[in-house]
Amino acid sequence: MSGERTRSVLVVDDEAAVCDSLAEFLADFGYECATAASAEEAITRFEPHPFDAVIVDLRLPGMSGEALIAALHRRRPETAFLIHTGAPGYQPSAELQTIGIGADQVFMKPQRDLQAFDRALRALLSKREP
Amino acid sequence: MRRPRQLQSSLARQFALVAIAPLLAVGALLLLRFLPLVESEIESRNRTLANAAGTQAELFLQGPELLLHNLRGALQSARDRGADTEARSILETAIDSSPLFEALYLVSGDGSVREVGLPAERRERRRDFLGLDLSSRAFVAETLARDHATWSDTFLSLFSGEISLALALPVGEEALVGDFRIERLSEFARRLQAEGQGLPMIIDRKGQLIAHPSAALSAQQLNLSHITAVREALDGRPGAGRFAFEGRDYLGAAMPIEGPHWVALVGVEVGSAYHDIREAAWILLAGLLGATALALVTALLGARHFARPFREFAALARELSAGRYELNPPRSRIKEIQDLSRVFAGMVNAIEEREEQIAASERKYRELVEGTENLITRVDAQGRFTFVNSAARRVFGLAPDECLGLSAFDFIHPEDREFTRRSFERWRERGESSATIENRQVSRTGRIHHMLWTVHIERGGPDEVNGFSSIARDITERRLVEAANARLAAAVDALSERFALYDADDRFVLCNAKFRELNAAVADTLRPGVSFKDHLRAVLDQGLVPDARGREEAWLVERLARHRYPSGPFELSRQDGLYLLVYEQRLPDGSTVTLSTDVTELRRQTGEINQLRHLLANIIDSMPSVLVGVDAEGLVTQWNREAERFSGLGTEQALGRPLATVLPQLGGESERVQAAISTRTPQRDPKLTLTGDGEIRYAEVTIYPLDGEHAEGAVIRMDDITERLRLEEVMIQSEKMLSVGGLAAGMAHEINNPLAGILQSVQVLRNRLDPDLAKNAAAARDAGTSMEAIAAYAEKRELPRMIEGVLSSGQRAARIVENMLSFARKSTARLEEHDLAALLERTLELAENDYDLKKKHDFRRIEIVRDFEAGMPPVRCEPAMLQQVFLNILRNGAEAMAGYCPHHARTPCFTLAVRRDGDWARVEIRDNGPGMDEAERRRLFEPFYTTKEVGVGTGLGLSVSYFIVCETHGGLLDVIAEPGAGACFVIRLPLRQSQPAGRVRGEGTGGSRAPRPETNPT
Repeated sequence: MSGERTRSVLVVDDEAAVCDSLAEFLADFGYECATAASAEEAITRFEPHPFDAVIVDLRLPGMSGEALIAALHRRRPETAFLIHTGAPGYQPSAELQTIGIGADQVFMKPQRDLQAFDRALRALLSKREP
Repeated sequence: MRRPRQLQSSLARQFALVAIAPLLAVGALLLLRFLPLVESEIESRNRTLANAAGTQAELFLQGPELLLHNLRGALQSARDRGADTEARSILETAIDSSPLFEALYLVSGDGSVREVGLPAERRERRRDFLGLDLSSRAFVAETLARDHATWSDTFLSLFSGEISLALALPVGEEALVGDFRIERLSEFARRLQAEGQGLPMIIDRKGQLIAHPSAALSAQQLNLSHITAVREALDGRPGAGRFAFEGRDYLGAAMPIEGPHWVALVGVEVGSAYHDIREAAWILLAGLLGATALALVTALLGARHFARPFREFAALARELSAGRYELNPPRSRIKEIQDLSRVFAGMVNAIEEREEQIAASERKYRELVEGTENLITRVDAQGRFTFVNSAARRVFGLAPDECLGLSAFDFIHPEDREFTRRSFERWRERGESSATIENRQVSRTGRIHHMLWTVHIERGGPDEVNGFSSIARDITERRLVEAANARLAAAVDALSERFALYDADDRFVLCNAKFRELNAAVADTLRPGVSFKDHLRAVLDQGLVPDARGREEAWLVERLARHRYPSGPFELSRQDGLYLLVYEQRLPDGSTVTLSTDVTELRRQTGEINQLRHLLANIIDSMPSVLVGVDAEGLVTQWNREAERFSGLGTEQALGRPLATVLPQLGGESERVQAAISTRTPQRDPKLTLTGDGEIRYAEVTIYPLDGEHAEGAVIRMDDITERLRLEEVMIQSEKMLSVGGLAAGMAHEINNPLAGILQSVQVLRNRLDPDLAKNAAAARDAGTSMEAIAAYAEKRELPRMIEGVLSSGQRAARIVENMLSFARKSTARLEEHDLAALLERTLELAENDYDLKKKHDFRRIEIVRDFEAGMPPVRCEPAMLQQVFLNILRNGAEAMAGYCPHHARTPCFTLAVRRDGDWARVEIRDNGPGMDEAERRRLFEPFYTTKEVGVGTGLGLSVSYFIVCETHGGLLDVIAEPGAGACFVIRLPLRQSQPAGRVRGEGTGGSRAPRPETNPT
């Protein structure tokens, strides 16, 4: 990890335990982490300081996770997104597929091995390396 | 057309023409022949005149020249004597003595006047002229240069102030000039004219007129060089021709005058030149007119003489045509006219005789016309009567003098008027000369007569109709008979039966259209007089009677016998498939009437009714329901095959016996049967319990009242609904189960979130106990300790083991939730292709985690043998449902083995096989448990059938599985088992199906498909 730029990740989940523990876990792996309990809060945080990656729960109070991804993608297209959902058998919607979100970016709750997030983030962010 | 010419005027014209034509010819000849002669005569006379005038002019001009020559001599002699001063007196003397000149003068070599001689009255002006410079005058210079006299052109004289000519003669170095008065020339011309020489004129060398009998004209200096004759004379040749001068036409001749090169022109006015000829022409014209008048008079008289007898004959002929025969033919001395008169008289007599004959003939015909019974009429082109005979008058109801002028159409029946009128128009247009027409006439009294008219159309030309002569016969009686016959024929034709009448000798009289139609093939035997036998023979020859085939003669004899001695109706089949019912009847006069009715349809309907009855019986017999008919007393009237099967009693045994006796199961229904019959409403017992064979069965009984018109009673229908009721119960149970599954799914989803919180937090916790993590070391340092110490503490207090425990428990919980979800996964999705072996493996994993299986039956202890065929194609299925099937079978086997194996040495074992079986994919799940007997095996898939003690199982698992395989997947589920030999469940699913079988079956069987719970995907 030395020599690499510190990556910023925003974790969006209305379940505080899920949100905080994931952020803490990723912090231990060298990510600069922030959390948001709703899509609206996520947008507020994203505005002044765009994140390299955003991990989004789909079922959020108010604006949905899918709508959030679409909005943030418009704001900063190079942002990487991971979906973290409790809905079994979820497939990215057609709209999300068009902006390049595939099934490998969907993580089912509960995730037995959180290092999978680290691996996925590395893979996605290295692709976006200039 | 040209008007005919009158004989008299025609003759007169011809006579006049003959008389006048020669006169006209002579006149024309005179004019054409002699006019040119006269003209050339005048011309030659003119020429002579001109010649003479020229010669006389020359002579006349010699006078002045001679005078000048004499003067020159006198002047020269005076100069020679040196008495030059005498010149004046010489000149003056000459002027005084001669009237020819008005002045004489000497012009010196430089052109100035040296001496002048003037008439006495102008001598005081002498000095004015001396010294005048005349060098500009051409003739002066010309004269000085030569030696003879020269005439000048006309000029305005300085001395007299009038138009003059000058004659000049050289005298030594000087010129002697005399101004000659033009008047003199005019006088000369006047003299010539007075001598009767025409109009003489003198023209100078420039073509200017210098002499004319009128002095005034001479002084006008007219130029006549445009006249052809003058131009020729100026060129030195004599000329002649017509010319115009001062508005008149002249014939003239011109001659050149030697010396001064002048021209003498003599003209004779054209009018006076032709004077003689004109006179002759007038005389000729007068002669012509006289001759014409004479000719006309002669012609008129002659013509009248010839035309008179013709006019008289014409008048006689007019008299004759008016019917006057006492006539005198014209007398004449001309033989031809006398002959004509004789012939005419003979002709008059002949005509008189013939007319008497015609009158006699006409009387005869009139008697005929008036005496006949036929109507004879004539009408004009407008349709008005011009003749009506007595028969017609009777029909019309007219008096003899009433009819003429009335319109014939008024007597035609109003309904017939229009077509009669149209017929007349048509004949008129087509140019026909005769025609016939039938119509009705109405007399004044209103009586109607039917008439048959023969009409002759009288024509004046191809397009002109003068009138119509018509003869008519009164056919009223015939019409009435015909109408009655026609009504009879129509009535016979209107019969729906075929009708024919044969006379006492069996000969054809008449038949109706239907009979004719039936016998169209032998139509020529349906003529009056043809015998019935011949008709039958023709019918046989045509092969129209199939029954008679091969025995024609015998049939003929039978048929004739029947015809002659009718013994009632009989049926007859025809070649064309018709069946006829034939009635024959003898009439009092011995004739026979034949009536045949088409009974083909009747026969067909009878056949249909029999068929229908048979069909109905078949239907009733083939119904899967027990159908029993009873009468009002409750005795059996109908007993179908299912009733036979159900009761074991045959139809004969059942009919007429009380219902309760033959079907004791329905003994309790007799009240309902009575109710149905009396209220006429169907009665129903939805669930009748039947006991017997140790098995409870259910039936539905419906009692339909029968229509009381024929026989009061009821039909009882009984259906075995045991299966249906069981299925309904299964459905209800499945629904319950699946809705519990849906509830579980919703809960599982909710559980996932807190579970994620637990699992994630534990993972963070584990990470943060890791001594190798730099952040951990830093945090420990900040807390005043080291990771080594913390690790030692954790190890001592077994923290890692406990964390792993939390993690393991959480993960197990997660897996349980996951499996529950895969059960409840929404199965309305289409069948998708899946690998059966993989599906089976996932089910095994699930079974291992199944609490009941694990705890009660120790599933992990069971040995699993796999026999999966390689290269199996995927199978269309709904994986969650199929997993449920597998799990149910595995659980069933595990339970069976658990209760069996411990007492034996053998290890419980499942042998799982997946392989192809024709068009099926075959899955076998075999256990080595206790197996089962036949009764058990047969009831295995029945819902709620269970061998377990109460509370252990629902008894639904295998029946639900059965429905999933058979209904949803279109497959087969079977079990092969014997007691002590284990059980083998065989699942067969269709391979290569174009359509999802479950869908087809599901839609086809309607409510038999198990409804599935809706699950919320979020």
